[in-house]
Amino acid sequence: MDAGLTYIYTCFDIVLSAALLWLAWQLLRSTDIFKAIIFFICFGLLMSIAWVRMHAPDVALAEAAIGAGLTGPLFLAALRRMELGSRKERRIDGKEERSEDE
Amino acid sequence: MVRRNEAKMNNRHQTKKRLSGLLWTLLLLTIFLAGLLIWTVLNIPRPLPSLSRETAEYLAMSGVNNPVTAVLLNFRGYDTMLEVMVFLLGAMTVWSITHAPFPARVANPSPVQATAVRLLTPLVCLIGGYLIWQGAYQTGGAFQGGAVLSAGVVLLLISDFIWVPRMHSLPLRLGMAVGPLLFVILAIWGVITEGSLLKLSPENAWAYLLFLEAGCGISIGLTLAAFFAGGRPLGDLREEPYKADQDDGEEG
Repeated sequence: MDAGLTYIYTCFDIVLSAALLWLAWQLLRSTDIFKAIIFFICFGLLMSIAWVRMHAPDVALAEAAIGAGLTGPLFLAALRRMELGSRKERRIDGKEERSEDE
Repeated sequence: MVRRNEAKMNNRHQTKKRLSGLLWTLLLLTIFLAGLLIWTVLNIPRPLPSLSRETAEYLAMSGVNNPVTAVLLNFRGYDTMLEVMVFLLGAMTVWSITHAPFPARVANPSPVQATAVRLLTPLVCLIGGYLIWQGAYQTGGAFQGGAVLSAGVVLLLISDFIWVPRMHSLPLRLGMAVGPLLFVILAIWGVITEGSLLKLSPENAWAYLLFLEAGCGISIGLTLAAFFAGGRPLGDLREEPYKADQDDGEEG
């Protein structure tokens, strides 16, 4: 019974770590800033679960509220203020969103 | 027609960049560093060197029952005092840049939005206050409750209520200052009564920490929401609270 529970915990940890790594990679390599911010919010939520797995519930509460709930909308607000200047800010390489086929 | 297809293909080819040599080198270095960290973590000597035994020993003297809160607010209270002051400094930095960008033409909120915000805001206050109070004996504390409170204030900021930009800024400023102020008052009180900075007597520590946590929770909530607002409030203390033509023209 105890060996089975440890096995389940280990599988959960492996899946969680793989998800965190994949989210981080997608967040860094996506050219759309809005998509990257959404990935960042998901990363914060999964990181909160990782803190719980490391037996730190206080840090998990703070990470969920601040990392996902405050920094995410902060980035979105910053993106909105950037976009008011030019529509091209949403893409990281500055191209227009529609493909230029004129 | 052929030129248009060629332009499209060039565009698609440009957006799919291949990793250059420099990026491959950095990727391999990062993987090597990750492997080194994993090997180090797996080889940490057991038993882990920690202060949990001493913390459990002195927990009764600290005035709370939660070891995390005892360490944060009592044993290492000096670090927390500097941290809340850094929060205030960060808010001052954000405020020194520009006014908060509220929209010039405020649209009335839809009934769903108005009802949701009106139902959620008291709940957020209740949950945040409970988390702050619960920090004395369970998981929680000033930072966790303060973060939940800040989420509630952010909810008020992004809903299109007309009275939000027109609020007087003095309660906001007082609320942001109450956390660091309580810490400084407690530090000086420790010097006066016990002879050392931030020294709390073991029989009264629970009362001191309760006030301290409440004040810090409120001030952390308001400071984090002030970060989100992105600029100083529209009503400066020397001027009128809000004039209709006082926006910077940033929103459209």
